[in-house]
Amino acid sequence: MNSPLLDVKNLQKRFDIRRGLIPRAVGHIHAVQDVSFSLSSHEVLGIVGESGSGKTTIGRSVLRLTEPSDGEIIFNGKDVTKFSGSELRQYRRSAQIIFQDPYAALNPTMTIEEILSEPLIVQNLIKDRQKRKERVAELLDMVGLSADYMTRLPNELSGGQRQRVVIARALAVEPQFVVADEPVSALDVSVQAQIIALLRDLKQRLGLSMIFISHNLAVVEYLADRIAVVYLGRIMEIGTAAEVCGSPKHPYTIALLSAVLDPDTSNRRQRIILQGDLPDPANPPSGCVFRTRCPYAIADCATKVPEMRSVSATHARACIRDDVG
Amino acid sequence: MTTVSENRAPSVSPWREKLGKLSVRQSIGLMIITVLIVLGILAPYLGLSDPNQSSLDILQRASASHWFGTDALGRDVFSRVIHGIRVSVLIGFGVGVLGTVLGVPIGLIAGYARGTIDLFILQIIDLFVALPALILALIITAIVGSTAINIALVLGFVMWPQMARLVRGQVIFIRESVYVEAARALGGSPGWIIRQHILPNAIRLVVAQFSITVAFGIFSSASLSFLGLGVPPPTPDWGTMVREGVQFLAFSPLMSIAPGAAVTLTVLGFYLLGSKDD
Amino acid sequence: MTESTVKSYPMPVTGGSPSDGETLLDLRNLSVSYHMAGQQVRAVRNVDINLKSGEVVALVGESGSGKSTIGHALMGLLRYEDKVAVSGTALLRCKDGVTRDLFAISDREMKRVRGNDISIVFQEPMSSLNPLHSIGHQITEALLAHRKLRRNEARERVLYYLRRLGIPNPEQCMARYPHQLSGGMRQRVMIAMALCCESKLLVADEATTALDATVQAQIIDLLKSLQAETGMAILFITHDLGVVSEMADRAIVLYAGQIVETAATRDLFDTPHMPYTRALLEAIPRLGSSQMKGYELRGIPGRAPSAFERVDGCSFNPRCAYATEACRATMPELDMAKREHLVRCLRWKELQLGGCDEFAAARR
Repeated sequence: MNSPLLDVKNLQKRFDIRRGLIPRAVGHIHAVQDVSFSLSSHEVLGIVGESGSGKTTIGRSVLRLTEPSDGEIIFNGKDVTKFSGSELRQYRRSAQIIFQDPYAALNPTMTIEEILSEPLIVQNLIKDRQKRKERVAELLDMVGLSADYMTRLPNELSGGQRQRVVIARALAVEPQFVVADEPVSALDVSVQAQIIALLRDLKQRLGLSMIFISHNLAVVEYLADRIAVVYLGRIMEIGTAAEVCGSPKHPYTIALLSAVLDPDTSNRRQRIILQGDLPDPANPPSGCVFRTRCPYAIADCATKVPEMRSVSATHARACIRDDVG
Repeated sequence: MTTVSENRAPSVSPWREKLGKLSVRQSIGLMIITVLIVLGILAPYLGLSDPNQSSLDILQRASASHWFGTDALGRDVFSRVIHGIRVSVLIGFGVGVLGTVLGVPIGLIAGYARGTIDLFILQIIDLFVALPALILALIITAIVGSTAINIALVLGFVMWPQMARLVRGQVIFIRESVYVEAARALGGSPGWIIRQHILPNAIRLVVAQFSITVAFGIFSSASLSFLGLGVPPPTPDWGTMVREGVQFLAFSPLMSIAPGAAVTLTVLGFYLLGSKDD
Repeated sequence: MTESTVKSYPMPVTGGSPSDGETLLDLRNLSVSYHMAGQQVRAVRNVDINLKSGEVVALVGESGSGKSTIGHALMGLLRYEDKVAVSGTALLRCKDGVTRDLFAISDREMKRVRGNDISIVFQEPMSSLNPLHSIGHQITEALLAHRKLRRNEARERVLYYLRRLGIPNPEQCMARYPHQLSGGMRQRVMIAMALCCESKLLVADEATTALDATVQAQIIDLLKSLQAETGMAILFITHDLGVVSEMADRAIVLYAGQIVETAATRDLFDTPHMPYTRALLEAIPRLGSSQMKGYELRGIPGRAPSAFERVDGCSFNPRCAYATEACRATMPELDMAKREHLVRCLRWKELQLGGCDEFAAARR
């Protein structure tokens, strides 16, 4: 494989828990711990996890929308965490984001034309008003909306249409990669499929690289080339979509797969019911963070944090046991 | 219609949308204010008797020649009430403008900067809010002297924290919104975000609060004059008129009631204009 | 709507639930309309649902399909809304042996029925719990409001159900306040609260939608075993076909406020007759897609009409791949495809739509 577009090394993010009249840190939540992965060009990397897994924080840290606490994010050979000022602005042309809630992601007082012009103005891409308008029409067309929508306000659009606008806005700067943070979770089933199909189409047509974040393994499997499974801020398993979904090697991945309810009962795995809820992220379990709910847990799991161990050249998992999967 | 319609009515102009449509209450408020302002501007040309012209016809009851009667110096009460619009509304607007000019930027800074600056500004705001505004204004006016300009300055000065607090809250709300995050992700500078996203969304609130501040200004200046700290005589001033009329209340009630009602009506107009949707 | 098809609603044969075949709820000709902006807007149109005791029926639909409105109408939650008109009858066989029409009884009677004979669990438990009272206080009070029990008896029962719902430390849980619990825990508490009253009918309105997949799996598992044990009937309102196939004996598919297809769950998924049902099945990403060549997810073009929009003919026709002139002109009636299987489509006989088994074949 040639050198990746994006190489994330030991990413950390701690949020301080502040209390008191003059707020002072009394503890912290380790939202992302030692997360490493890479993204090649034209590749879609899926990040799967449940709420509290840190998947959103990973995406936002990569974009520097949240400041990472530690670690390196190498983009085209440069460390993004050291960027400031114009370098950071330049980076924002290369890396974009698609949000979960299309109702919140569009300023209700701006027309669709104003919304889609924003990236072009902010990044100084097109100065001429008329040319900008043409580009906006082009962007709308790319996401399957007619130019008539330019004069509309967001509240005149349905959820699916809004999400198309959000996607168009992210693509306006012709980014090299996009972080899509649960882009279909807020949509109806039938509309969800439209947007997933659009994203897949854009990936093929534009050769877009993408970090696709979702809680739904089936959606991720459909869209992603590779998948990272995260739990409580750590990567549990990473591999190609076929490896992770076809021959999972981490107990959490297996449980997650078994929790996907397919209408076709013959397409189900044996259900593994996890006990309890996610542990308190401010006070995570020692050793393996998953051990408190893991059906395979043994005494050793509590003593040391499991390292990523390879299954194949592309497949690795953070579990000390070999007899899983 | 055979297909699911995707076409809706053509959208209204964006600015219209930003300010929103006027509700029934707001329309009534606007009507009251418009009539008052027109009367105030045209007051000298309405053929009313000179409001400051004293005569020997003192303390007359309402009649065809003096609709609201005359005061202790024989001046026409109706004419004084109409002329009183000028000082009241001018002071009110002065208070509104000053409160807005001070409050909006301070609120913006507090809301956008967060951290220590926000904490500092918030303490000052809380300090002001904790003190009764009128008493504070009373004390300061007593010190600096009661001219129209001083009254407007003092009242504006005690009112900015309300505006600042409101703007701060709105800025914090909008700053945390997903579309502002999108603008940041696109590389938008803080200036761009404030201009493009925060101000247009805050403008409705600022306009409403401006109106409320004007109402407060009119009410408070009337209260100050009632307490004897009003615009110096002989300028017709509602608060002063109410005070002067009190001693003749039993004999000629309109002397107090007419300017009092004028205050109420004006304040009501501005409050209605500044009220939220019904 | 033909009365005959309504009356011949067949008994469930699938599912292992202890069905005694007796009708528990007979909802007939339910229409709900809203008065908005000077317009009469019909959110639910002539819906008939027959629920037998012990039966689990899923009400499936996307947003705007009217599925939640039906649940709210049943719970009497629409009676206080002055701009909403509910028509039809909802005959519920209550525990005291009396059959009552939920749409005709007084508010006072409804209050007694609610919680006693019919309970509801909502999607967002936080909004149904009072943040000022402890969990224990709230459930116990709810129970005491409906049952003549001594306080400690009530407490015992609450503890029992909390334990049954897999809450690790029920005593401790009862002393806690809603905000101190995770989403999954709150939803368990809500379900326990609904179960405590031991009503015969539970309406679960998107009860597991907001939960994480693994937590949803836990709760569905619990609900299934509790249902089998208590024999309560469940009306499961959801948009998730996976949940439907997991939980329900029978499914009712709603579109634009109408029933468009209803059948035993397996039958519905294996041989859907309504193009909408089939399209929904195609719109769900399936596990195993990475191992299949040429598998394409297909969305349904356009969007569902809002209650404001009127569609002539079949309400699905603008989005339907099989729509003809006739579909644009005539609103189809519910037709009986086979025993237990009703479909609202003019062309269902000629269209041989595949179901889940087709996907399974592609996987092999």
